[in-house]
Amino acid sequence: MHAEFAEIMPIPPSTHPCWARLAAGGAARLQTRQLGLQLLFKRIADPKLTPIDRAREVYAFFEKYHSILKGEIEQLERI
Amino acid sequence: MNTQAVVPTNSLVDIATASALIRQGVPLCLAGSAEAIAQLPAGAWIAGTIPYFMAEDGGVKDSDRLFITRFPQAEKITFAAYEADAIEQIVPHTPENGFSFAITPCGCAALNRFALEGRNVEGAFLKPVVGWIAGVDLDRAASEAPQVFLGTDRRPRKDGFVVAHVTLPEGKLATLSIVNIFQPDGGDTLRFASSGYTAVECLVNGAPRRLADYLRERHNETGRWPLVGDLGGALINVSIKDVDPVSGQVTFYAPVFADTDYQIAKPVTDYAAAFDHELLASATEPSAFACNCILNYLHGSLEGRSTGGVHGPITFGEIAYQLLNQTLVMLHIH
Repeated sequence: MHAEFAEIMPIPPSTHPCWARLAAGGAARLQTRQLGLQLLFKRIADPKLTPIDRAREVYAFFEKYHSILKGEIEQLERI
Repeated sequence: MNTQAVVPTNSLVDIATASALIRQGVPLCLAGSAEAIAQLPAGAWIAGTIPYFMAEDGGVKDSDRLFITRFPQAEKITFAAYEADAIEQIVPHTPENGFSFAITPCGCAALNRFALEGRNVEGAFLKPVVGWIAGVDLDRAASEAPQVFLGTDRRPRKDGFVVAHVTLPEGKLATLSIVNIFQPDGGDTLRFASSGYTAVECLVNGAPRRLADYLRERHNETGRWPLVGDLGGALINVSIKDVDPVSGQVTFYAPVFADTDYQIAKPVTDYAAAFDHELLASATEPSAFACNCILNYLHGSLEGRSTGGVHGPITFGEIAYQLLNQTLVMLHIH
């Protein structure tokens, strides 16, 4: 079993302000080696996207991949 | 031949072995020469042309054997071929819990559109698309064209995508990772006015320059060292295909994006050692599939040399959510 599975962390609810912070530029401060999340962060930097759409896309990624995003989830409160 | 005992997962096999697996109903993704692929029976498979591989004995060119990839973890695999509208089809047809494995011919219109617009597709990063770009034997490049095949009709296609849509059981997840041995050189920052496969002008540290002149000044007029862009923290290469000294037009193997800062890559002297080092440093998990770029094979003299024990086709471009250049791509199933 991969080490990241050892402790699966719950993610904050979709209404938590951390998602809006990520969408408003906090993504640049979040350290991750997950390629999909890195490329998603680049995508949500598109000024044509609304803040709500950005937050929704990032939340959906964390919701699906939370079992391998322990380190990233730990950073959510700090950014 | 006994294919019952051990069914290879990521291996270079002879045509008889691949054919036997297909007749047994084992879904396969294959890479090989057009002549080898043409000998396969109809069945549940997709294939693309390429005769270069990262094999057990290192980098090798082999037109007689086929590299087979199968996904024993899969709950279900369906195969499809898409034409020019592939970009609108692949992600929507990718299972919610799974991934799509895609092969497309180098330079085709469907790939060009995927490369430019793929990252904007809804759900593109929730449902991974991994794969590679079909090519040709470089010694026969003038007379051959890259092709892909769908096993049900075995018809060669020079445009479009062939795709395996793979559903994973509940509790399994697919992720993609890359190993890029190139780092930005820390010098000038290049910016492009528009996204695309060609450029004449660019901004170098904010000042307009002819890109061809700049590359010559940097002793990179042959395009040996790619441009490296920072995409959300991921270092993504754009390889230089051609520099026209007369028109000044520079052509790339993947598009540059207008919203991205690029730098020229630091030179790498020993590609195989660099891959070994990066694979070790990233503590990469075992991969269910991997592919590496033909430019790394050529520039890095990887024939006969192993790259971190990773096996797969050596391709004319790689797909990990989007088109990549000079990059080792890996699929992981957790």
